Amino acid sequence: MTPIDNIVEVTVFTTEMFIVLSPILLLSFGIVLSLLLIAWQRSQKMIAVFSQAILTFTLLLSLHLLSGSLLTGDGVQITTLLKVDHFSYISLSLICLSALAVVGLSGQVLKSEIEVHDEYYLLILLVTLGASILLVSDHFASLFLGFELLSISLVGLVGYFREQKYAVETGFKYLILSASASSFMLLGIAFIYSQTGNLSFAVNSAAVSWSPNSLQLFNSIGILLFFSGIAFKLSLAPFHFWTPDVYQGAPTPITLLMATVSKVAMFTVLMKCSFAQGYFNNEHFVDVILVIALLSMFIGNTLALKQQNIKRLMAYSSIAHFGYLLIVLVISSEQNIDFAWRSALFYLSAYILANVSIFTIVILHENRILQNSAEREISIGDWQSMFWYRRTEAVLLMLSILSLAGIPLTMGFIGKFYLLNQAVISQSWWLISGLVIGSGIGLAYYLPLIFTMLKSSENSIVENESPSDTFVKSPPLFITILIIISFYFGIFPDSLSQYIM
Amino acid sequence: MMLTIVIFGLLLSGSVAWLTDNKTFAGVKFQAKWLSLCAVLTLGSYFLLSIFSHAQSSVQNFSQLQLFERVPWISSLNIDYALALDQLSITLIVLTFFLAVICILVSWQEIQEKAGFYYFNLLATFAGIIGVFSAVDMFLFFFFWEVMLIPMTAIIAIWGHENRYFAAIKFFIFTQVSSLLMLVAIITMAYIHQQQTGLLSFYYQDWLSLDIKIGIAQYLMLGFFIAFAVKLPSVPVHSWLPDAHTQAPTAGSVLLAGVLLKTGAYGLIRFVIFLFPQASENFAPIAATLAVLSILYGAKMAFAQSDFKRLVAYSSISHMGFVMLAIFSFNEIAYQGAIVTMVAHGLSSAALFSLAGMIYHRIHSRSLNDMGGFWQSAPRMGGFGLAFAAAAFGLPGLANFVGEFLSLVGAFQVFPIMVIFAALGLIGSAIYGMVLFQKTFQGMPLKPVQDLSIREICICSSLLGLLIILGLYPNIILHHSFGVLT
Amino acid sequence: MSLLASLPLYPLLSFLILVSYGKRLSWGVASWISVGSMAAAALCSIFLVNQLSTSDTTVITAYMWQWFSVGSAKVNISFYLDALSAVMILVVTGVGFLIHLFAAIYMKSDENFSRFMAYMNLFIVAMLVLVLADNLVLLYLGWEGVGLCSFLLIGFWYKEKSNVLAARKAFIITRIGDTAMAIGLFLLFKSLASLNIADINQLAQTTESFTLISMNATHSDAYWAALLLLGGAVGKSAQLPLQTWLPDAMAGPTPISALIHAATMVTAGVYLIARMNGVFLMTPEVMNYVAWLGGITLLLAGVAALAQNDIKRVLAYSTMSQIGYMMLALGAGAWSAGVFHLMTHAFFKALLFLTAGAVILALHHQQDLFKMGGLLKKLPVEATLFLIGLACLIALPGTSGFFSKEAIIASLWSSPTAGPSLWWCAILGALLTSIYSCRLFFLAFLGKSRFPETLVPSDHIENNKLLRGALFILALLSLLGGLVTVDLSSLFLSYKQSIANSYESPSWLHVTAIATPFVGIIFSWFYYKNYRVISDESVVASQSTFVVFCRNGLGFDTLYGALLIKPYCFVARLNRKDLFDQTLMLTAWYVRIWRDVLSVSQNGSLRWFAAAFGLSMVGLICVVIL
Repeated sequence: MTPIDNIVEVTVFTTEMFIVLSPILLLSFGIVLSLLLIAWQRSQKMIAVFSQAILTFTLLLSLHLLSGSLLTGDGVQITTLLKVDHFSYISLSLICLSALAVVGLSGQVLKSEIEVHDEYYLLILLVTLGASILLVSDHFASLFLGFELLSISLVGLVGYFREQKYAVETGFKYLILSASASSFMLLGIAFIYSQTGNLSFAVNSAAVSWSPNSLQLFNSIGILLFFSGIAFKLSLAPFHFWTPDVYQGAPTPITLLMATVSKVAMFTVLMKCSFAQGYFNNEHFVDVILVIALLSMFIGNTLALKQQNIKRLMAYSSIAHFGYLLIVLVISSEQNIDFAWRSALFYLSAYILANVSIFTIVILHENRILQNSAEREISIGDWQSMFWYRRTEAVLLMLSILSLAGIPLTMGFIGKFYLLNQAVISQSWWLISGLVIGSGIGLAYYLPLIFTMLKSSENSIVENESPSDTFVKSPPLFITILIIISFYFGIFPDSLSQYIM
Repeated sequence: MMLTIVIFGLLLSGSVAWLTDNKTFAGVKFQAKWLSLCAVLTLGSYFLLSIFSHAQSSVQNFSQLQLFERVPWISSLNIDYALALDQLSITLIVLTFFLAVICILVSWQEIQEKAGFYYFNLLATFAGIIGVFSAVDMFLFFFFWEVMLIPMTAIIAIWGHENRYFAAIKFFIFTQVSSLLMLVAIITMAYIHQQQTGLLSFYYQDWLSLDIKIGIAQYLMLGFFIAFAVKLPSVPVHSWLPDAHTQAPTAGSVLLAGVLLKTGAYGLIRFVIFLFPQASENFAPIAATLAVLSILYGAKMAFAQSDFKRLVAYSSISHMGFVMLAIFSFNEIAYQGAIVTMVAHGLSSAALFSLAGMIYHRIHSRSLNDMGGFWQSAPRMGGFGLAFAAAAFGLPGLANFVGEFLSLVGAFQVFPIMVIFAALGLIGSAIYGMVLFQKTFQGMPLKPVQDLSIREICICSSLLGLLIILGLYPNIILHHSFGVLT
Repeated sequence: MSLLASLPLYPLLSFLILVSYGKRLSWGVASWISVGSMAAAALCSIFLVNQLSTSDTTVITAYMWQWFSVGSAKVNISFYLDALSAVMILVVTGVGFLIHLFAAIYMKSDENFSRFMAYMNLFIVAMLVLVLADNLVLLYLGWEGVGLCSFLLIGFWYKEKSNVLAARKAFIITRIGDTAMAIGLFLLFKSLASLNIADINQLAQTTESFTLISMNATHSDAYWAALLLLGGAVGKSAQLPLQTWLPDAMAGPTPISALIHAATMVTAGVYLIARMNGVFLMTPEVMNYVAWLGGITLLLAGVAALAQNDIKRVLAYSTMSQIGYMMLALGAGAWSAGVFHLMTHAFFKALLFLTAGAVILALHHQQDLFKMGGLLKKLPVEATLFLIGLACLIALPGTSGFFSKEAIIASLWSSPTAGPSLWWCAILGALLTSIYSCRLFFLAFLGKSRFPETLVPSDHIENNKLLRGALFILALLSLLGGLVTVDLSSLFLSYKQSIANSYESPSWLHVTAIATPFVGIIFSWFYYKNYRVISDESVVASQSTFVVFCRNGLGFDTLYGALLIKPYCFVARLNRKDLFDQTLMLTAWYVRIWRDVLSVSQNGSLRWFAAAFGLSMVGLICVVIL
């Protein structure tokens, strides 16, 4: 562990590494370009199109590399800091997809404003970059780098519409809490370093410090602190308090951004780290995971009951969902790691798809309402009897809700199926019962959503909703695509999961 | 291929009915009810014909499971799309088709708004049920198990009575939670198979060859048992049923009582008994106790109700108790009795619920207190009402008697004491049957109602005819062996 | 299709026609169809019995199809005609035909005439199936069928609540007995592996395990089986303790009371026991129970009959006590005597009921004895017919009742399962019979008339000739019915010698038995003097508590009401909201509570969030440390 070795490692940077890393490089390059673009001419349309283009290219590139045979075995190590492997590409493409959706939807929101919003798009790109760094990071330092990049730019975005009601308050909440979270995390990293003397994931700290005479406790607490930082971002109970408020206060596309991009990135890196370090052998860690998972399942689902505000409801449901997802961290042995990855990624993609679809509808709906009434938030009541006069949107919504509830014909069910498989393999019956009960409670707020949409329409919404409103130009296509995707992957999950493998 | 055509044909025609409802093409005004009626009739006859031809050609004529389809579906987990049939499933599928026609006929007038979507849901439910009865890949089975649930819930929630949302949610949550337990059990079985043979398998036939340590087997058996006991339903997890039956539209109740409950019994026979013979034999005393409890409790609760449909709903609990008792007494006679009871109860409860629908259509109330003396103005309805009530309390000569008699005779060989208690259910059924019939058709005539229309007479007489035929010549069913338990 | 198989078809056909065409048929057509079908059935059965008696075969069978098979045992739809069932079909079709004839006239004015006749036909079908069944399950079919018909006919005038309730009561109480019988079938099948009646009677003799008392049991299977069958019989035949339904069943039209609740259905229990004699013979103690049951019933019913005001209720209780005699006979092992009494009783009780019906018709549906009186002059024909019936009931020498009842009483003393005490019961019962019969006759026919309005002139009752014709034939039968000797002894098995410890019967038995009725008559001649001669409103029903108690069926109704019905209804009402449902819904409530608690934590204030963050950190660290 002398500095010399590190230097030796850093020096080598082969073309292979370059190729492997290219999507992220492309992304950062794109960011620089967009800065130049802004300097040259400020045009909202242009920057929007440009950032969309960048994201698309990154997506395509990563997909191409994914199908390519570059990645052999367990990925390519790029210095001690980064390590690119199969899974990071998949998460990267997931992130790019959701970022694309966010950018696209932001267009809907920003239309109504007069001024030009270059920095908004820039921030989104930065968030994506931070996320992608997280995905490939193989070292606590790079992890922290990505983490901060992500959070700070998110803070900017959360409070973006200054003049809106909750904007500033929300921004502050998020800023302070995430700052404290990252400080906890730093402390944890420090503890771990003090035990292992190394910050790279690759060094299996299990080997170093699980010997009885060493300060195992110290190390465990370090891991715990580190974990809590991530748990905050994943809004796992009991670090979930900020979630509903921030979800509600932030502009809806940004809520989507938080729900998808940052969470996927965080969870991926969490898995990477904990698998690499073999935390699953550390019974302390497993206990903590167990407690947090059960808490999140229960609290998330319970709080969502009777929740009228859609965005808050989504916040709570996301708490519960990441509670479920923690199941994959509790694995019995090394050889289940691959399956764990597969389950997690499938579940994440199902989750992303559902969230993107729901938030799309929410945004479209918000626009309609903001048009003909004063500023207000979407509540369940606004979806009353939607099924009978705006069929496609309603169908999409139902599909996504069913998917979140984990009912067959949807991806969500397959995801849940994977999780259950995982749990059965690792024989963690507590988590299974938590999952069963949790989804039981979950139905109690997912179904009413659907029923409200199915209510027969006696009220007058139908009239003032003329099909000729300005926003349903491009969305219908997008919506139908989403419907088809969610059906297709719900019935033929293999077509997706073979990609993941 | 045949089963796939039937299942997807139903789904397809359902969606067509939905899309083309009340639209005119080339001067022809499409109506969902006609379309779905035709679809069910054609597919049903197609099913029967191909079964007969198959039975002619093949030697073993469905005494054992006969595989129809097996194509890989989710190959990463060795999940196949596998469908098979044996005499049990064929019997139940035929029952399903018959009741499907009944369902469509009873909704003929009742459902006016959103008819297209209604019939789509109806047909989707039939498809799901047929899938449940024919799936032999456990993942596929679970898939269909849930698929039949969703449209059923929609039917309750959209076209139900005043308290429909609550009923629908209750129904859904009960079934969902219990079936998740079953899903866990299924997955565990798959991995046990992996441990023993080295490869993951969800295929029913593969599982039959497993030998599972009794310790684990008991838990797995429970996982399945709970799911099916909820569906059956058995005391103490029955309480979704009265609400669902009462709130559902007529066709919904007919479907629930007629076929959906049978999926529970079917599951008990096919999966609990056949997969875990040892474990379920150890469990039998408890199951039998639960069954007897359901019989008596259902009868008592039925007597206490003042709502026509609710009364019939509780009576179903009582009847399905006989089925469970028979199944868990591991006796050939009782087993045959269970199957006859399943079919007979399917018919009789369907009949009573249709009757309830007809009465509701006339007086817009389900409360027995608003009824009385209908015989005066509607003697035909009265006659059918009497016959159906008689079927419900097991009058010899009607199908239910044969079923209950065989079940009890068989079970008496094993659990004499319990059967004596179960026989008290015969008294209970007489009591609620009397209450039902007399409060509705006898007493001082309150308001004149118009007698049955041709369509309604068709419904009732077809049901009654079948009840009588099965009651006097049950060998139509009984000469099948149904892969008798040993 | 053999003649035997076709026997139930005639009434069935008429039933179907009447049901499907119902109101559209005129009175003439409807009555022709139903009565005609009965005539056909009667002729058919006479022919069959003749065939049976002449030909050397003791049994005629008709196999239609296999109903279902219980394990190895086949349960067929097939009929079995031997001497016993021959007697029964004669009674059922013969008396049935006469009652149909009567009913066709009696019910003419009723708006639902055809429905009534249809029910009657259906009843006859079920009854024939009952008596002809060759296996217990088919018998059970008929058994339940007659129960249903009796329910329908009691509640025929369904608009009165009381009739409806009476019908429900009759059905449910008999159903209790039926359930016992059903369990009996299960037991018989378990221990003898057959449900065919003839086989069971055979196997019961041969199978050791059937009569063997296993070490951990107190009684043999035979004991329990016989007891359970007895339960069924008790329910149908309105014996103690399930007798309470019969008096209320009089709510039905009078022809029904004659057909179902006097002549045929209520004697089905007797038929069942006689049929299953093979099983009963295996358990002397149950035979003894049967005898005692009959004895007690006949006494109690006689006492109750003494206190009734309603003419039909008197007859109902007398029916009960006469069936008590039959039971007594069966218990004593005097099978043929019992069946013989069954037949004669069918004749004269039908006569009594129908005559009573005619009287009631003439009196504008007045049934209260204390509103009658002095009818002897006004309705001489009915009076004589009624007198004949009563004579048979009292068993005056020469009448049919005399022969049958004497046969019973004679057999008691020496019977190993009855004995002197029961003999005294029978004698006492005979005394009671004669007394209440006299009371009835005096109240109704002697003295001066106590009814306000004038009679319906008999010639206003159309087809009066026909009506009376039916009555005359019945009267003839009841007078001469005793001369046809019904000897079924060949049919029934007798005791094993081991338990035949017969008492020495003293010589004065017969004298006493014959003398008893006269004693009763003389007693009541003086005791009921005021009923005979005094003729004003002073003649009223006594209201003393004991009499009222007896009038209300010796308080059985109140007892059962308190013991069974009230608790059941109470529990049912108590738990209308389904206990289990409540408990399951508790979980939902619990979750909702939690939600409210947790939602407090979402108060949106930053400092609280930060504090919670820190706290939960500490908490997790505790999890790690501990």
